[in-house]
Amino acid sequence: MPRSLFVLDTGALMAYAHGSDVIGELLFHASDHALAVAVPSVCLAEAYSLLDYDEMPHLRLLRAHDRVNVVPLLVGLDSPDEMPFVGGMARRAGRLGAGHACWVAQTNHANMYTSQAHEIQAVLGKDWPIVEV
Amino acid sequence: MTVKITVSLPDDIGATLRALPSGQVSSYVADAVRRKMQRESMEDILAAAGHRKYEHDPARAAELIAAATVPPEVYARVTAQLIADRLLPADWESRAA
Repeated sequence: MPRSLFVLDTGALMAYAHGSDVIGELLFHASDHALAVAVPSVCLAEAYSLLDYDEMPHLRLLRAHDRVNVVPLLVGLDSPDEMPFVGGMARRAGRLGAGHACWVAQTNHANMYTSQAHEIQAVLGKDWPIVEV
Repeated sequence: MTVKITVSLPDDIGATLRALPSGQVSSYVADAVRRKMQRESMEDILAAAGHRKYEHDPARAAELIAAATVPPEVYARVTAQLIADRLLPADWESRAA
């Protein structure tokens, strides 16, 4: 999977599941131009925790698409361990999902789609490309 | 695993394929078909979630891509600050290289 150009935070995943034009347009054009979209796994879990049960299948469909990259957290004492840094970013942002999203955006040099721009800006600053949904 | 398929194509598409370097026609066609499959798959996914139908719009896609790009100076400044704040490892720059 190539580097992702776009990151979907929890609110963006919710917006997708609820038919938001901003996210729908992004996903369409990303797939149309073979661009990858990253979904941090913690944001995915948060979205599942917030959606109604009959909305959850939409997330499963999205996850199955070739251009959607669900990004896991790497853990390991002897191998790359992302936990301390994602934890630090989450503390700064005020939410676990925001922390993982910031980590994924920074490592991919990627644009962020979020419903909580202030949380992302607390970590990545006001000049980082952020689209509030 | 591969399969051989015979197709009939418009003259202009045939000319494009014939102009490709030797050995690249299959990969060119496979890539084009896979992209169309991915686009159609995404259209189905979006429709299931209640989205409207979106149109192929290279100009709009270019706008989204341009807006998504993190300016190098922003990336460098943010990275330096995150390292200073210990939100990125101290050896981050050498890992990323």
